[in-house]
Amino acid sequence: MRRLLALAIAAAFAPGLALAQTGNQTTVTVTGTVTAACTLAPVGAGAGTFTVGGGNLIDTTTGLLAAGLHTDGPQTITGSWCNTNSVLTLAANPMVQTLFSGAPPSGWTKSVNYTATSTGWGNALPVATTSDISGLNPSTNSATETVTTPTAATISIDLTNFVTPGSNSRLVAGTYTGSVVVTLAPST
Amino acid sequence: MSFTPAMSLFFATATLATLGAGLPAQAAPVTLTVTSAVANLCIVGPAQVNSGGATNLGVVSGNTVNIAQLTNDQLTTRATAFDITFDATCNAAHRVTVTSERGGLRRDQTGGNHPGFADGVPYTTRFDWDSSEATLLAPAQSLSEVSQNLDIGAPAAGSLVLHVTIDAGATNLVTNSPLIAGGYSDTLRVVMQVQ
Repeated sequence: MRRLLALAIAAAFAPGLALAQTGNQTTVTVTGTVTAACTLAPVGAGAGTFTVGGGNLIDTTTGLLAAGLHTDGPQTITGSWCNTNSVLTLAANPMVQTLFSGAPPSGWTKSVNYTATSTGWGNALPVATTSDISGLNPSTNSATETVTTPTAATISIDLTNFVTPGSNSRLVAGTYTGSVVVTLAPST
Repeated sequence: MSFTPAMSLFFATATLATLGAGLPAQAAPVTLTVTSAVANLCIVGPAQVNSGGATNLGVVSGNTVNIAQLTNDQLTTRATAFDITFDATCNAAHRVTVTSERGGLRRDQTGGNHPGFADGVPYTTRFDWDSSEATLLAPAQSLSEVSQNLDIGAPAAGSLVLHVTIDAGATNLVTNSPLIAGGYSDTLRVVMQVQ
């Protein structure tokens, strides 16, 4: 009874033993590809908006742009990554009072320029907005930063250097709005 | 055709490789909004009385303008003219209102009137602002304020100039009536307000 059981086990393993024999080798190729990918994590709830000057742009004694304007703090995009070389693009649009119809009178403006700077993804990447005094032709300015290694990092963005397009232009009343668009993509 | 276990594995991996070779995946952009505001605002600076070109202008003390001599030798009104300038700014459509609080230059004391004598001096105030103008007539007929508005449909900055003019012989009775003795005064109020 014990001998009969041993023979039965040997028969079951016979096909595997045959594949491993020298002279009858089979190569099994296993391949796979990791797609080049980047992910920009969304900004947190309640975030995503820069408030400049605490909601007031001007010196109320002169009507001119207030000195030393700053945001309420940098916006951070955490958990972003690229598994290959990458290019970060920062595109900035001036702040414009869009409800003011037409061009403001001479000496007035309805736009405010600023410099948006991203840090944390390669070198610091500054982008200064431009617009004409009237605010009728705000331009989208952009710049890119290429990183030549896979990266996972927090991207921090803040705004500085708020200026009117014309020297000593006064600002018309109203709400001013601009935007900064951040794009992250694999670099070819 | 029969498949060995090895052949089945090869086909499986080939299929996976085909699915994985897609285009590079770009992250969805993140848009950050930048916002702030400029409140409605009118700013009016201190009054500056211009002595150059003035007529019959006396001492100016702060915001008080004294007329050198209100009457001539016939005791009726002497011609007077002077300008008052304010630096001003309004950052939206606005209204300028100039008000004579006493409705004209009126005698400060009450009583003592006498037929044939006047107790008030009418005058005009033309105000120039942003290439527009309006004129306030203060007739000195009653002790109640009179106002004149000037509406401007856009932001403006510059000098608001008030040209105050008292004609010779102007009284609240008939022209060239003599004025009752006493002090005469009025207050001009200037208001600039975003509409």
